[in-house]
Amino acid sequence: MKSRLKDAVIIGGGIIGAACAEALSRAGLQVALIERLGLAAGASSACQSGVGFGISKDDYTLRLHLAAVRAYQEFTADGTDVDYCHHGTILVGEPDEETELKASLQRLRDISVRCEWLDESTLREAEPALSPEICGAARFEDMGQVSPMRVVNEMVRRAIRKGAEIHTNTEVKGIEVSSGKVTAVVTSQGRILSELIVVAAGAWSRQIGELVGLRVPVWPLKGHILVTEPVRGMLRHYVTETGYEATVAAMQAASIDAAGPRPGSPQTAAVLQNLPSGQILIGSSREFAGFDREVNRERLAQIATRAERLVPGLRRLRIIRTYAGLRPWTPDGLPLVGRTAQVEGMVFATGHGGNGNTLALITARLVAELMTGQATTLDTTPLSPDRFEMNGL
Amino acid sequence: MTVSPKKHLVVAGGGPAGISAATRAAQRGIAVTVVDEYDRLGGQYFRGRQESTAAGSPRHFFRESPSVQIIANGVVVDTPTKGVLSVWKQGGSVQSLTYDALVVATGAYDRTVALPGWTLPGVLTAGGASTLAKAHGVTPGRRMLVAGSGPFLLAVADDLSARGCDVQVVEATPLRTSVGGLPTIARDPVITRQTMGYLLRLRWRRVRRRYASMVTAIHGHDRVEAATIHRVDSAWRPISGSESTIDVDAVCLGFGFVPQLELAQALECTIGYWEESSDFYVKTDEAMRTSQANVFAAGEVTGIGGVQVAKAEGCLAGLTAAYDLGLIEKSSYDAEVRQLTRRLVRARRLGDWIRRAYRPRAGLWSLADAQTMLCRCEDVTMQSTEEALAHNPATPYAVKTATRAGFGLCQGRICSPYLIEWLRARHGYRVPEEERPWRVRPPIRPVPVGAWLTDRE
Repeated sequence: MKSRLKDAVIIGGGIIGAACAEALSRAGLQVALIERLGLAAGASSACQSGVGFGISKDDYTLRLHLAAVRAYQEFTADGTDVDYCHHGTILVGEPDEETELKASLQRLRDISVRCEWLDESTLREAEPALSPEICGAARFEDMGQVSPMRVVNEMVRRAIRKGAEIHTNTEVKGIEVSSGKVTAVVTSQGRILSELIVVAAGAWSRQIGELVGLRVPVWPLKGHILVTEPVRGMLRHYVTETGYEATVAAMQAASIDAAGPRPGSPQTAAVLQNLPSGQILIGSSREFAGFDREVNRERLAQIATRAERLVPGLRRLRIIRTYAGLRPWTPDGLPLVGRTAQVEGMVFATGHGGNGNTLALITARLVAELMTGQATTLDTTPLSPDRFEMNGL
Repeated sequence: MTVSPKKHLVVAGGGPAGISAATRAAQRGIAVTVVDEYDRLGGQYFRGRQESTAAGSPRHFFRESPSVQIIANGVVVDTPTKGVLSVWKQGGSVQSLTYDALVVATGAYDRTVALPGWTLPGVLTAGGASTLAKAHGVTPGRRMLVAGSGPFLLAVADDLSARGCDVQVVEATPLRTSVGGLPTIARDPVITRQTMGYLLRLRWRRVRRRYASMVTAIHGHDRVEAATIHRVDSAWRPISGSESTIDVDAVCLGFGFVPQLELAQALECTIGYWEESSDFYVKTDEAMRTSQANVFAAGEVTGIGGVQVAKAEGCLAGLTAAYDLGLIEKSSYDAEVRQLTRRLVRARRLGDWIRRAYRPRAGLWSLADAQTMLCRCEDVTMQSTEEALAHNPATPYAVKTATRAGFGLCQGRICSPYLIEWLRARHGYRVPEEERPWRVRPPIRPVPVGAWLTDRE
């Protein structure tokens, strides 16, 4: 790589970086994407991949997620195959939560979200694999799943067609700043001149920020997944439980000091995803464990136990693989999208926590809109990186 | 004198290496447990030869070492902490097995090669065909090719032709290579007798043998109907104009073996790689100690070497385990080691020659066409692999992530060795010096969710 001039350099080859590369290339920018390892080597290949929304979210978060779901529907409308399917999500609650759940559904229907309450017999028919002890659940029509690895490869292919350069196995060594503006990225393969740098490095974004003296409030949140042998059609929906949102909330409650969030107690909840190729991904767990990606056996057993409670048929399925991934966690649970006033030319598209797959396309769209000075699809003030105190390193 | 509890040696794998290790260690007063995935010990080598009473055979072993505990149908699924294995007894629960020393004798898989038509029903590995014939008395077809490279082809052709099948052998290595090895083979009377037996019986049954030839494509709609054979040059590149297509209903492919390294990798033993013969193997010292304390390796996992090497290494591993656990005097150990080492050096001479002589050559990695499957579990073609490489680094990990190759039930056991060699030959990939191109995480082998819960609930 020789010294070259680019309109924008994107740091990170996961689903967020790839989507940003595509969106900015489509907007007419000359883009280079820098990835330390291979494409989708971080959380994008070590996750579950539902495309959906939480029901207990505030209005803004909900609107953001609904826009994200629509972005996937538009993206795949022409038949683009990224294993996107939206045959719905089933959300199982504890028996004493039924009234509360039904009230949430009513609230969502009021803003045109397609969802319904399934009573025992309809539920049995809709999702026969669920435990007979579950006598009702919520169904969300527009939620679905996607293959993040396929999204990454599709986005990169499109970006290349628009002239983008992809540099894998390339590490960012430094960022040059001159009178408060970024001017170049120094990589292990050479220097690229650019006045725009998009940080899409997921859980590793903090290290990139440090290169320009910014404290990026993003920390790795570890999650475990188990993979079963292929069994086609065992689950017709993405299946999850209300406990999932509770675990997310529990992690958000972590107290933060200079070293980051304090590791509280690990959280587990059942999230089940039957892939088109048959495997069932069984999640999920959430804990702060630094950058450690080794699997914790106790956590795997806890997840399996929790999942088997929802779908007893899992008992006989064999686990063929397990893994752990690092999601980029932020203190308020919202991502960082947009410019910072601290260093001109630094743009963030990171901190998506466990929602990176859902939010990838809408994030890329917002970044492209912001960079080209267009009106944004959605107000981005709540996502501004400057809502956090980042300077002072 | 205080009586301390008996030291416990676990042997993972009950083939020739594992049996030899268990026997030697048990003789020295160690409590030994052998864990094997099959219902009967003996490994691939003794499959269907359970009546054998030769030294090192399962029968001989049961007679000599009655105190050894056997866990048949037992699968090592995890290595949770040092000194502990999680073993799943098929149909039951997962149990913890503690050890003072461990011998990894997990053997090898058939090396699978992607060539056009290799996923058709009726195509199987030579090892698979041999197991079918020996253990179940079943042959994969009536008219078949046994194709690939190495002396194992003769053994498989012998098994199949003895059952009345019409067999042809297609050996990629030229006849002169085999002839050149005669002096080496002649030093080992057992192997000489075995090889002579194969050759005489194959001749008697009029089994045609072609040398410097390769099956380059297999044809058929729902199953194998025909196969194309080319003569090949010394790099195994097909010579154009030399092809012939013959009608067959089964093809057994045997391009040698690859060590079964998952357990050793899970134990974090150092794994080496021989570029020349495309082999990964567990690194050991001369006395079969791996890089991990009290973990030994023996047999095909230390590099493909054949049954005589496996037995000698097994003996050495079992003996050294006993010595390291303080159960043998140094003088007695040294004397026995000298004798075993001589035996091992002799056996390795032949094993090394076979590995070099019949090693895969460059042409093997160019047979696949665009539609050939790389990964049969996830239906990944070579074309989609090439497409993924257009914007991904040429590493096995990047290919897997981009295409899902190796994400299926076999977890890349079938396609990974091929993918690595193909990337080396076609895309300039270099196997990294320290880290290995794939990771092993629990479970080492598939284990039911239910079995997993039982142990921990």
